[in-house]
Amino acid sequence: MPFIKAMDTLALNVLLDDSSILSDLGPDVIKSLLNKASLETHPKGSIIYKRNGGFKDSLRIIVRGAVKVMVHSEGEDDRLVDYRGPGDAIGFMSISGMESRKGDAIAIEETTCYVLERDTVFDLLREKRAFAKRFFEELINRYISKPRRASLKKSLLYGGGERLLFSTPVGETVPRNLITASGDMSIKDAASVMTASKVGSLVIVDGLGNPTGIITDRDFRDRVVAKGRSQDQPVSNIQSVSLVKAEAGETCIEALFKMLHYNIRHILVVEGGRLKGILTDHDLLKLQGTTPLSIVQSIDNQLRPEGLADCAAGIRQIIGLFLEDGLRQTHLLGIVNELYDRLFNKVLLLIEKGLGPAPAESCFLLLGSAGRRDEALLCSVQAGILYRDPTSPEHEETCVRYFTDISDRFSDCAVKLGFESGGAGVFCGSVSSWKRLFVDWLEASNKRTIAASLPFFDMRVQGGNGELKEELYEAVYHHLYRKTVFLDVMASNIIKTSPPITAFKKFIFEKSDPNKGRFNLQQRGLKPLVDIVRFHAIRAGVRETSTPERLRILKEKGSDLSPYVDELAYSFHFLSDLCLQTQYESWKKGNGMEAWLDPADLNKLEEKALKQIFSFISRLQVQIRERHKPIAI
Amino acid sequence: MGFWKNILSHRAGDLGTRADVSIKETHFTALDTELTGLDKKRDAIISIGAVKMVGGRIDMGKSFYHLVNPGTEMGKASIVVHEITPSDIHEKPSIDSVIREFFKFCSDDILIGHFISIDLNFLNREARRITGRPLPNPAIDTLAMVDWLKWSSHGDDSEINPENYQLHEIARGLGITPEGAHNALMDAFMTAQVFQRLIPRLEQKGISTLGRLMEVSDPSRKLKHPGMVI
Repeated sequence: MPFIKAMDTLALNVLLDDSSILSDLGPDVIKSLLNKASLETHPKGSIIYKRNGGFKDSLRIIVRGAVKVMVHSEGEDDRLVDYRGPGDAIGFMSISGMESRKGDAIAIEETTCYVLERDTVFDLLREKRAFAKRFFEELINRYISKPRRASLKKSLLYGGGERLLFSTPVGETVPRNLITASGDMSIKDAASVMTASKVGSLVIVDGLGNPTGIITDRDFRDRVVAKGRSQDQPVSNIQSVSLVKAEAGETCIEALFKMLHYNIRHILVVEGGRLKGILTDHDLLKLQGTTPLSIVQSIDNQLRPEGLADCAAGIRQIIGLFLEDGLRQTHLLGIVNELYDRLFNKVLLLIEKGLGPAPAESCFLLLGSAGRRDEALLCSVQAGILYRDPTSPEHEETCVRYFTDISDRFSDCAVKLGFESGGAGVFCGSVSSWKRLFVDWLEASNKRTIAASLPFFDMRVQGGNGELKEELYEAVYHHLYRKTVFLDVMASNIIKTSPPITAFKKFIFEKSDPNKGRFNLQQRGLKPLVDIVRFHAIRAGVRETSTPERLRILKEKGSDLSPYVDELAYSFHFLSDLCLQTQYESWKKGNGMEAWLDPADLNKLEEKALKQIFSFISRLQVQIRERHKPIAI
Repeated sequence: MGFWKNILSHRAGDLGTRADVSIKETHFTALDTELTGLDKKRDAIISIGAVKMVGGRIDMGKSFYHLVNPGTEMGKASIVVHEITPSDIHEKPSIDSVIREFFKFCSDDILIGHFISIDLNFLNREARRITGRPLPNPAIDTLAMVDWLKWSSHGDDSEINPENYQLHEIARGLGITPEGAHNALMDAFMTAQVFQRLIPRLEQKGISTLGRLMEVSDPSRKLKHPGMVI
């Protein structure tokens, strides 16, 4: 049929100009590919595919329009995790059979895409190596810009994927210790061996050590539990016999093709006729680099809290990749917060699993910056556990033991995930003891208690029964409004840290090493602003915790701060972006996540904006001082 | 007048039991013909182009495009419009074999065209001559569809508010850029793309079955905006 010939310009312009995955294919291949494609248009707002269902076996290449990928969180609204535009492909991971769809793809605007069926894509992957190379590169590099790729070559798990997938022989990727069993071993014993060796599959070998089959953890579910099979039967009854092999010298990409082709999740690696190990799709996925979706997947798959360390590192990596793609903090916060939420939820879930059910209703709280959700590169995690008042002294003892255990484990885990503990650890107590804590702070109303209380006013429920927090807040605010001196002291306290600028608009720098000639943007720029907004929010009874949200509601309520809200919001975003960039640069160089800024790194425009913002914050501080009579403390 | 009478008296094929079938599951053939002129007695088909669709999905691999030797003298106007010269046509198969192949291609699909009455006039004339009866397929008209949508949305949908009812103007409004040569196949493809974008809009207005679709896009339906340039 001459259709494709007739539409040469259409097809070739669109596919060659926009889609880098097809750009190495000649016009003839593109034409034959298009002959097998269909063209769809999805109206704005429509769902292109839903998680876990429908249209499973096709790859879509966006010709026009834009698509967002949303993931679902239990009991909450869906969250955005990715954007795709013209030339991008959607649906690769699921056509490969490697994972079920994790998210919904929704057309942000009217979106036209070519639809290629699974078989068509696989034929092409097999026959056209140039396409295959491009295809995988595209997937791997989606979040990795060129300069970063160069600097990330050292990293095995993140970013080095392209190189590894194409050049690493499978023999080097398989774990050293291959676990085998003979076919007459009982199902029960095989399960114990797998659990003890922490492997997901077991190769069944004959007397000569030649592989005869394989069993995977999935077989236990599908062929033992589901079928009600006796665990005393030999494993040979449940083994899979199709053994697909890869030579140790083959590259990972070749192994991946085989797995895709046979739709299997494990492949045997042999060397010189002898079995060397098993390669799983998970091993290969790890080589594929980092995407928000792959992190979600990885978080979901972890069975032990320690396993989440890679995920936490992955989130930081994603932030860097987004930053270098020119995304601002405002845009990436939604994505990153979603990842943090899943991470913390999983940590709690795994900890709870190890400890059994809680002896009382409770809720887990994140405090400070984690509670405000307005910092992408979260350095420290402050947390708290609030549980319903125990009913008896024995019950209280059980509660204290249980929740202290959870909080200790959470603190430990947070450190392992690369967060600082935030100094105070996890405060855990019953509703009454939390109330007492606040009342003590309010009564004392001194510099120390104010400083200690600030992160607690940013508390956000991360899991459990949120009513407990509301109950606590009712009591705290009730007390707070009768004890107005607390707010006055808070006012005089928060204005003590002023932005590093003189009355003549000159920056004030650290005078001594190691940060001579710089200032801490986080501590001296962002913190005073966040403090001012929090102060006004508490005064106005605003319970939201994120700074932009607080500002929005303060404006609605017509508080004292209303005339400055827009400017504050702008300043907050500007400072946050700059702070994040500075933190990230520092973290990349291995200097921790502190935001020490050298203004010489700014362009003239940024420098001017920063000076204006600092002066603006200083003015607001003066205003607070005038309204709340200074109190000597 | 005879020309208009012919168009308005055209009856689309019967839908039979398919009235309740969802649009999404229906097989369509979007078609366009190029003619030597509009006179049913004197003029002839010089090319037929068509693409297949299932619901809103255009199947890029299944298309039909044939130039026909019309057996009549081609007017200069056709050369200008279709960029087809007599020498292009000379060696081409006769209308009889192309029509037979085209009927096979259409199978029992619903036919879609833009101002399809004109195409059907000529296709049916040839069909009657060759097989003794007109094309049995039901047909729908994107022009009638757009006319109905424009009327029912009271001009609120800025993308369905064309200055005239010409295919390219409607396509432009919907964000479809004309690509490739201007010929029967590309116009059939463009018609398919227009239909693809109209489907969700029709669904919003409660039109999701073939029966309802026929009601609003019957080629013989009187237009709501009769003054528009076609």
